[in-house]
Amino acid sequence: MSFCAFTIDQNPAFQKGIDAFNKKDFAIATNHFEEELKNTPNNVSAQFNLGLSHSAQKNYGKAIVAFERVLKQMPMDYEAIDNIKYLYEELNNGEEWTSDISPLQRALYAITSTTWSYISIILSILFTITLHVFRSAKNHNKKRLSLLISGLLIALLFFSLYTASEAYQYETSRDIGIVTNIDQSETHHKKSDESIKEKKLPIGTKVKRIGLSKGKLQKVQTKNGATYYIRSSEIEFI
Amino acid sequence: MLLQNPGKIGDMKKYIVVILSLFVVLFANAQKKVHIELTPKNAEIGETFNITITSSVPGNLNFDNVPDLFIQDYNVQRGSKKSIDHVSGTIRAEYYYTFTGMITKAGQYNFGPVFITNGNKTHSSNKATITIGEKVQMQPGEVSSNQLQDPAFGIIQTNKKTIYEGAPLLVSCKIYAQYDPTHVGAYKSYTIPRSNRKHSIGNNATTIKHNIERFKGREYYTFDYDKNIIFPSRIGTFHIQPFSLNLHQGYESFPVVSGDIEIEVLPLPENPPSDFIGGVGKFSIESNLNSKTIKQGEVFNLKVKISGSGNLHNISAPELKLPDGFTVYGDPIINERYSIDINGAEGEIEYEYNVQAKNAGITELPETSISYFDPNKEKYIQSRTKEQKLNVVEDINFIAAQENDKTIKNKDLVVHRSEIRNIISIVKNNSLFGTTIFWSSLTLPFLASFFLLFLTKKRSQIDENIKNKQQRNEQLAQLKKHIEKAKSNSTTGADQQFYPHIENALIKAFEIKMNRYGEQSREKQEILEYIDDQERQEKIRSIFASCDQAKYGFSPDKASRLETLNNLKAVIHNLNIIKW
Repeated sequence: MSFCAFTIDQNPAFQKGIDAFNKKDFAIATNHFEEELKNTPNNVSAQFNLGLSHSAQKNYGKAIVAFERVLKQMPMDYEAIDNIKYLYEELNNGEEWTSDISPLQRALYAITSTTWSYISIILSILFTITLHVFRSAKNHNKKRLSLLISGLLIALLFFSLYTASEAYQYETSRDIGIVTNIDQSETHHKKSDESIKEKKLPIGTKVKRIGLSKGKLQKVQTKNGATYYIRSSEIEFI
Repeated sequence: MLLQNPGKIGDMKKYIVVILSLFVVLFANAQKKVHIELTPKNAEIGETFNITITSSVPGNLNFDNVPDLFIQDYNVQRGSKKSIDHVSGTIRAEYYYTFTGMITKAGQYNFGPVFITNGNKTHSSNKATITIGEKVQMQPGEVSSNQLQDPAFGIIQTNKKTIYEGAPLLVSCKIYAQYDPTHVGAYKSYTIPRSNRKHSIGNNATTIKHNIERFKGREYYTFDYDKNIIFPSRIGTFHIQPFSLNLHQGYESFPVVSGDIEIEVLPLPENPPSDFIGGVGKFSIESNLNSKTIKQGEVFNLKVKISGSGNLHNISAPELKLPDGFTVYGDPIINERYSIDINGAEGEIEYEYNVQAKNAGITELPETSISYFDPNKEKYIQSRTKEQKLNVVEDINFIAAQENDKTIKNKDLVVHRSEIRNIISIVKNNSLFGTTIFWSSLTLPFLASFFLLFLTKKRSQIDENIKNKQQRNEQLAQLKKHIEKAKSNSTTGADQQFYPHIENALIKAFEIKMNRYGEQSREKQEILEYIDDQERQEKIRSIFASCDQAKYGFSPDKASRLETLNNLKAVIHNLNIIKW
């Protein structure tokens, strides 16, 4: 994952979204930003602006999803975090924002898995060089120093490999979801299946997907470890 | 001209009426004011109350219009104070007279009007009314036998021993003396928990108006002192600490210290009604509209008045129930008119709401209700206002303005936490991690390293082989040289020129065979051990023995030389190193 920024000339939907937003036509702005994201799914600015547009229309659940997606792509975007916290305050339903990762992890993942991959490759090159230096060194002190450096390099190599793997997992996993709405229509699952007990969770509840969905229901786990079946239509994964 | 223009005559009349009205108002305001006021407005039999007369003119006071049963104290205060009117800049003087007194029979009594005579002019005041109630039955605190033996003792008395939270509690001191007391000195009041406040309601004069009462079989001079109303704020035991004073008879005095007293404060019943305003006592509610007909969009004044006695000063504003289309602007303006007396806070509190009517038509404003707790009935009581009709006349301009306003408001009320992002930021998601390129790049240095290691090793092996080969060739050359020398000296030469070559040739042959390059001396035993064949061992032994004999001067014959040479030939042949 790498980052670049450029002007809006080639993205008319993005520009239209901004114009509509500035005119306070938030519904239109939302449509334009969604269109932009269909064409350029990695446009973080469009994702962020979509969050603002949803927030302005009081679609707090969808706004949270948009900002969480921004965080997924740019873990150190504290403006997105600030917005998410504000949205939970506005929801005022007992839910509050909890980060899936620690601040250290956030900082490490912000470097991106690609960068960590490059670091790993460089470390592996350096490690092999120091091994050769060790082998060819005739001076005892030189041998010892090269051995020490190669030990350090191999430790760093494993760390960067592990972080690259974790960052990659964070970037690509789609298991965390947000309850965006409460579907009041009738259930469709078989009543005979006693194991399925549908639950209505408050908007903004962060859940983790566990297992495959059963019909229109998705088995999820909340942060306190409780598992429920909720409707797939009520949840958006980030 | 005027006759020709009747509309202008009507206008002039209007102006005259307005000007005259202004004059009347100004004149009325300019009138000198005399005012009489009684505090408190409710008292009990024998309780001292104040009569305050204020006047803006000096003069002689005529204070005769008082009830017959009024007993006036000798204590009269009079004086004057000056104040500046900051609007007009004029200095105003105010003269005041304060009388105290009591009434010994229950009922309603009027005071005034009083008159102030200044020269030829007499100014009259308003009338004031006081309600005198029956004496509140007080429940005394405990009296010890030691106290009864004293010439004077005091107790704390309250109107109740158990009250509900928020309800008023009447507390006073009662002093019993066996002598005729004249005044009180060094008085230290009873103390109550810090979170509570005492509201004094009289009987604090240092001079004493006593009665004679019979208590525990003995006659005492008694009087009440330091009467206060308290509103205990916490449930549980309410502890009142003792008071102390010196009870004088002229210059002599006796120190009096009371006992303490405990009051049980009960919580209000659970689950109060939703319209409970926190009132404990007896209250009523009424509402009033300043206009029955208004234009759409106009703000009208709705006054809701709560009156009664109890903890009136602690109640919260009632919640208005207005139909759709009515908006209350801001908090209500609160006008409080109450005094603290024996019944608690008594009077009224008026809440003035500014309400805008947005929908046209005749609307029935629903009743406003309050609930309070009646400690006598021990239950919550609801009181409600009457429904009122309000005619809201349609205003087209307001409707248009409201529509416009609604559009603007819908857009403007949105609060953004962040600025919109104008620059596109693209995050490339195609991570390098896990790809073939990644794993190849990661493992390539290791593979390259191993390959290099392998190459180096192979090269050094080749070098060694070449070296070995060269050494072998050299040794072979030496072996051939030794054999040639031995052959040439086998028949003619001296033993010293034959046998050393034989021995050297044999050793060299085995060095070559055993790949021992550069190692000159070989142990005979080692060579013998290298050979498994017994016959060849014998031959080698025989060669070495012949060489040793020649070395030590035992010259073998020529036949022996040939045999040794043949033996060497056989051994070298078997070793398969060179062709003989």
